[in-house]
Amino acid sequence: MSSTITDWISAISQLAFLVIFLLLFMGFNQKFQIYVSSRNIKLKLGVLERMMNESQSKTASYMRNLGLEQPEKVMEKGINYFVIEPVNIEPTDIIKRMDVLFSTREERLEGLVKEALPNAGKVERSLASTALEISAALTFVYKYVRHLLITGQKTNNWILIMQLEMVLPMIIKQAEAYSKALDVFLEGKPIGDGAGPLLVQRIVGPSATPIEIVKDTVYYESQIDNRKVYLIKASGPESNVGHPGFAVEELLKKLGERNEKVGMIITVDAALKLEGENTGEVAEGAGAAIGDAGPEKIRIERAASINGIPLHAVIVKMGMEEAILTMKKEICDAVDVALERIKELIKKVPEGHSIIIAGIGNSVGIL
Amino acid sequence: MLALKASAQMFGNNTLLSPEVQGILTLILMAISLTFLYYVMMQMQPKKSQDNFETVTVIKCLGDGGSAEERPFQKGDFVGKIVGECADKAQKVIYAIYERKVEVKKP
Repeated sequence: MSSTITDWISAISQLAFLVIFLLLFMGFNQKFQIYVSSRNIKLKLGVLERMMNESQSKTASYMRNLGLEQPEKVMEKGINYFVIEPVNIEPTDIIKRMDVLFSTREERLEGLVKEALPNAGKVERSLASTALEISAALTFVYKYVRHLLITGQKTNNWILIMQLEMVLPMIIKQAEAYSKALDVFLEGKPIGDGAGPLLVQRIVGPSATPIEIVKDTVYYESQIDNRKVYLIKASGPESNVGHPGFAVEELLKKLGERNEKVGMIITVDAALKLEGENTGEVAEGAGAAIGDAGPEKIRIERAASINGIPLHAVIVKMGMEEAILTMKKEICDAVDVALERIKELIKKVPEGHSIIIAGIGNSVGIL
Repeated sequence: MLALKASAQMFGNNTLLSPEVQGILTLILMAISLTFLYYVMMQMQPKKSQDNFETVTVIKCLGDGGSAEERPFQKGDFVGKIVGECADKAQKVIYAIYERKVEVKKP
């Protein structure tokens, strides 16, 4: 009896081995891998879908609270808005072309929100606009991951699906940061990226009068160590990064007309830390510390080089998530350290020369 | 199956254990191995942070050398907002708004 059972077990196991062996030759292992990976991706796609739906409903609810009865139409336009990259194989005048594209986008989206919310204040409109952009980003991430999954499944592209499965945890992490950032923006709290504007606010104080120099960007005049200091930041407390590059260019033109000598330009910005570095570390370097696509940064660099002005950068290090979430205490404390660094730099400028300090970043929650 | 065969060869036909018992033992060993593997994989997953955070608003008097008070963040707060007047008639302003970790007291 027992030998009959062992014979059967042996026969079945040999048959099973044979079948598995044949399936391996026919690529079954890859199909199985595609199935398992697709299943994992679908689960995570569900998480992305939930984040997308939540962001859209929060944005719609915020707009409804501001008096818009049917926010769906505005949201549909805003979420699906796109910008076509300029031709870059011929780089001549690419900055001008980028200016046109960015200003077209900015005016269109701002106009959309302004038309939809005519009675809302500037701060509320800026928050609604940012919420719309976050919803658009989360929607795009969801749609793109879904596109890659379906493409991989349709074409039996094992490598595409495996790659997607491998990078998905990072994508989810970034999407989660965006999702959390939406609440932060809707409450109007300062974010980590606001380190630059906060530094400007620390120097000038709440009673200083801002002068608008270019759209959404202001400058203040102050004195540090008997030297005249011009401080540029995005206007606040609305959610806004302004146009610091255009502002530096314009301010230098104005000062040039008054024959005022500028001895130094300092840009202060939040910068991404490397893994292992501490949040709130302050570092100093040369160049324009600004993370835009190009038009703002190049203006600061050109203005400095044309006028022969030393260009310094002071950065406050933080993680990607920390830059878009509520400002952490470490970053807030680091602003005072950055201020001391700036005071050290200013001492190098001869008296009688002015200094331009540009606090780069989003001014949400910072006057 | 390989383990089953190996164990059968190791014990031979004249051992104390019958082939059925050997098979069951092998299955138990496989179940233990799989459970252990699952446990190890669960341990390898990053643990979610249990830290709690709160957003505080720091209010300072501009005139008296920087005495500061803290309160939880309220909607409408922003850095640089003048929120009142201090005893020495100096302006009371929101000096900072930041997030900090909340110490959770263990019962």
